[in-house]
Parts: sequence; structure tokens; C-alpha cells
Amino acid sequence: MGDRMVSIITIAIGLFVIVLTFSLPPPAMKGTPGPAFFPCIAGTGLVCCGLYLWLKRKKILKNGSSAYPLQLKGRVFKIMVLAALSPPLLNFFGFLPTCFGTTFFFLKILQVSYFGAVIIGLVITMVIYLAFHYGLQVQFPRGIWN
Amino acid sequence: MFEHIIQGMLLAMQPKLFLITLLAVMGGYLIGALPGLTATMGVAILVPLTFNFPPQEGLIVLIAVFISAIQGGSVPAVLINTPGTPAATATALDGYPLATKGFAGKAIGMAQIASFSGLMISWLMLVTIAPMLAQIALTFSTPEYFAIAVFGLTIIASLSADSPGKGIIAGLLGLFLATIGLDPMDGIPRFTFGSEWLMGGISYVPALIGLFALSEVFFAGEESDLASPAVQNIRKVLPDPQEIKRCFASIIRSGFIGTFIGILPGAGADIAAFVSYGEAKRWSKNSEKFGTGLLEGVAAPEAANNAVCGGAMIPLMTLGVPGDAVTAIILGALIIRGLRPGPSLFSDQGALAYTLFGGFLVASILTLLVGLSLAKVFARILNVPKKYLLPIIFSFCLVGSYAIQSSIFDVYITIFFGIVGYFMRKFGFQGSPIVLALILGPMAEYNFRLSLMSSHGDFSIFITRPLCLLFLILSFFSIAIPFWRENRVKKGRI
Repeated sequence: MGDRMVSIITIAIGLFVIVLTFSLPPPAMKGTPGPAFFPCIAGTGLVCCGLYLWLKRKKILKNGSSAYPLQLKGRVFKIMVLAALSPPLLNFFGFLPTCFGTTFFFLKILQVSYFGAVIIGLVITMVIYLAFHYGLQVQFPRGIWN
Repeated sequence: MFEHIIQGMLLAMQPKLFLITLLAVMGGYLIGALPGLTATMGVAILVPLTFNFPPQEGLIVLIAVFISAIQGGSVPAVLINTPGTPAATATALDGYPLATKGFAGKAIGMAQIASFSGLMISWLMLVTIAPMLAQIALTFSTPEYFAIAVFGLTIIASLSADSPGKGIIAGLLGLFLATIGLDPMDGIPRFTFGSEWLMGGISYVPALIGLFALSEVFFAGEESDLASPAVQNIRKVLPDPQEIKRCFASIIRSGFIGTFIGILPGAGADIAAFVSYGEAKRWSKNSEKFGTGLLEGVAAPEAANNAVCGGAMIPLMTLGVPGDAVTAIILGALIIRGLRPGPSLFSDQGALAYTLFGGFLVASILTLLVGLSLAKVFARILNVPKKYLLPIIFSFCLVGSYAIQSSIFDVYITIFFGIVGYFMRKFGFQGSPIVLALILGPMAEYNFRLSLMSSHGDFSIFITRPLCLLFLILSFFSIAIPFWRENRVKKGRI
């Protein structure tokens, strides 16, 4: 199941890349590769490798398959959602609330107590802020506080 | 040459640089000592932090973290039978039995001494071989650079030794992602879909933070038990002089094995550790006692896995081809600073190259001193539960990627590659091929197209130049051998 999905995805990505290269212009100098050359190689290679994987999988299934444990645990899904929400929150609320908020919720996902999550969240936020803003002169977004 | 090396050492020992190196060594040792944090992850997270430093300081920090993280991995390998880094897996075979007998301190002390010895052997090879190879590389032109980039790309198959086919798929994906942005020759946008952000292409530093660090956080989040293991107290951290003498031959042999394996692109510290462990067992008079708690069983893999550090720097600095995943990251850090490793690094930036050599030596000595004096402290840090460490790493990943160019887009890239890296590992893929392709793909494309422009479309330019042809032949074998080995394993012949 895992290898079948991988081979289908690989072939699909390869075909997508090849189709996209049709929209690129021809080379400026005749007889030389243009902008489409390397993407086309990548796309063709992906299609070939996807087919190889599909055929290899068929051979493995004959001999006895191995399944991939593709189960996304709830905790990992929550962490991914938290990560994905970080950039828009960073833009809107600014750095300090976002850093504290994501750290706090991450600790809660890992079942740390409320008090512990607040303290650790505050400490991490301040250490990162001091190190990056004052130490490395990084300018963080201020969001709605701007 | 010797005056350059001494000059480099003196530069590396300037107070500010010395202090930065010491802090980097302590940080790297801590990263190596904590299971789940790899040397690759540590170097990846630190790359954006080093951008505000001058080039030699930033690069010495990365090298110091590399060296010390490999060495730090021996601490949990001995104490809790869990290697801090994959390179310390072989160390646990005899290290943990020694700890159960009450000799944990001695084992850790031997690991530090053997690691330092391995580093010294590889450093000597680095300072003698690298300048000579760089002289040869001065004759390189665009066809040779293309062939070297292809050779570097073919180590993708070696990096995914269990499944070379999947390594190549990841590499091809990285090759496609490397073409996003403006075409290097014609300047037209490719695959940007009208987005301004994509005009600049996919920056590989946020990508590698996502692939190596953030994906590890997602993986660690799966573990049901995020509490800390029980760690015994360490008493004496030094073996007796006679014990060191008994392991001397093994340490020297392992140092050379590790250096040679480090030079080979794709073969990393974990392979070097196991090969030298096997050789030590073969040459030992007490081979039947290996695995029951022999100091030689700790000394051999530790000498080899650290010797890889210097060995991997040789192809990186002379040819611009990384020896392993960590040196691939260091290559990215060099390129992003406008420094191209290779012969021009020695001719145009000789002071920098020799300062890096000096920094390597200083970091090696500091790692030994830190390891021997602070091993007990680092052992206590193993008591910190993972549920407190993961949010710290998570925050550093996102903030670090933002700090590179103060761009939210880089954070999106890190998160994207973190999620992609997580699912790739689930399906049996590795992240290193994507990063390698992101770094070497543009080099391969640019030099290939420029070579053909200069030869008016004549492909024979790649086979009439001997060094170019040599690298292309090596590339063929580099791709073919992992498939051949996979086939042999399946047929049960290995």
C-alpha cells in the first residue's frame, strides 16, 4: 500500500513537472539546452523511478509484502497544525504573543501542567527574544502592535 | 604551508574566536549527548544563527558543533545504551556493558581520548592532502565542475543505501525544486506561478532545517514515553595509562579507517564506527570478549567516527563535494556566504581556509577538555525529559528560519519541508538527497549549459577532458554500486 501510493505520487509529480515545462520558452542559443532541460530531466526521471517502484512493489507482493505503518498519531497532527498556524499568527499578533502561545500549546499537547507550560513558555520566549533580537539584531514582526 | 597553518591556528586562538569556539563545542557536545538530537540537526539549526558572524567565526562554529556532537554521542551510548547520535551506535556495544559493571566513567574517558586521537589523525591528513588536491583542482573548468556536481549528486544513492531507488526519487524531487525561481542563464521565471516569493527560488537553509530538525520534532512527538531515563552517577572519568596503551594500535588503525571513509562521499561516521569495530575485533587477541565490556570496543569506533569529521572536510574544501550530510550543510553555509569551496577557496581565501584548519584543531582540543571535565554534568542533563526539550527545538527551528532573511516565506518553507520530511521518512525516504540536490542542482545545471554554450552544443566536451570523464565514470559507479549491493542482499549473497 505504501509503495503503491509512493509510486503513484512520484509518477504524478513527474508528469506534472513535464507538462509545466511545455510552457517554458525554447533556448536562446540553438543546439544548447534551454530553461526546460533540467526540469524535464527531473520530471522524466521521476516518472521512470515511479514506474520502477511500481514494478518492484509487484515483485515484493509476490514474495510477501511489507506494509508501512502510515498512521498519523493525533498528537503529531496537532503539532503539525500548530506549526502551520505559526506564520499567519506571527504576521498578525507579532512575535512575543505567537512564540509564547505556540510554546504553551505545544507543551499542553505533550501533557505538561498549565503552570509548567506558562513558566516554560515565558522562559523560552524571553530567551529566544533576547538571543535573536538583541544578540543577533533580528527584527521580528510586531503584527497588530505596530 | 606550515607557516600558513600556524597563522591559521593563531587566528583561531584570538580571544573572541576562542570563546565562540568554546561555546560552540559545549553546545555541540550537549546536542550530541541528548538522544534524538543529531549532529546534522544541531548544525542545521545553527546555520542561521551564524549568519551575523564573520565567515571564519560562523564556519568554525559549525565545524566545532559537528566535531563535539559526534563525540558527545558516546555519553548516552555508554550510560543508557542509547546512542546520542547514530555514529555512537557501535560504542554502545561495549560501552554499556562496561557501565553495567561500574566502569561508566572509564568508558566515557576512553571514548574522549580515542575521539581526540581520531580527530588528530584526520586533521593531519586534512592539512596535508587538501592543499595538494586544491592545486590539481585549479585546472578545472565548467565541464569539470559539472562532472563534480553530478558526482556529488550521485552520492544520493549511497546516502539511501537501504533503498537507492528512493534516494534517487528524493534527489530528483530536489533537482526539480532547485529549478524553481529565475533561470540562471536566461533570467526567466520558472514554476513561480506568478508568486513574488517563489521568484527567489527555494532557499535550502530553511529546507534543511525543516527536513533535519523539524521533522525530527514531529517524529519525537509520536513517542508514547517522553519522560527521562534513569542515569547512573559517574565517578572517575579517565582510564589507566596501561589501558590506553593497550588500545593504542586500535585507535591509530581506526583513525585512518575513519579518515578514509570520511573522504568517500556518502559514507558517514556510523559506517566508519562499525567498520573499525569489526577490524578491532578481528585484530584483537581477545576478540571473543568484544560485546562484553572491552575498552578496545569503545576506543575503536570512537576514534573512527570522529576521524570522519576531518576526512569529510577534504572533498568539501578541495572539490566542493560534501563527504556526508553535515558537510552538505556546511557547503550550503559556505555558498550562501558567497564562498565557493574548491581550489579558489585556497587561492582567493587562503587565510580563511587555514583559519578553518586552525579552528578545527582548536575545536578538537577543546572538545577533549570539555568531554573529560564536563561528562558528569552532561550525564545529568540526560535526566531532562524530552517533553521539555521538544518545544525548545520547535521554537528554534521556526525562529531560526525566520532569522535568515527576516522572511515569513522561509518559515513556510521550513514547515513545508518539515511535514514533507516526516512523511518521507514514514515511506522509507531520507531527507539528505533533497538538500544535496537543492545545493548541487543549480551548480550542475549552470556549468552544463555554460559548457555546451562554449562548445557550441558539442557534447564531446564532457568526454574529451580526462578529469571530467573520470568524475562521470565515478558517478556511474557511485549510482550503480548501491543498486548492485541491494540486489546482492536480496539474493542473500551478503
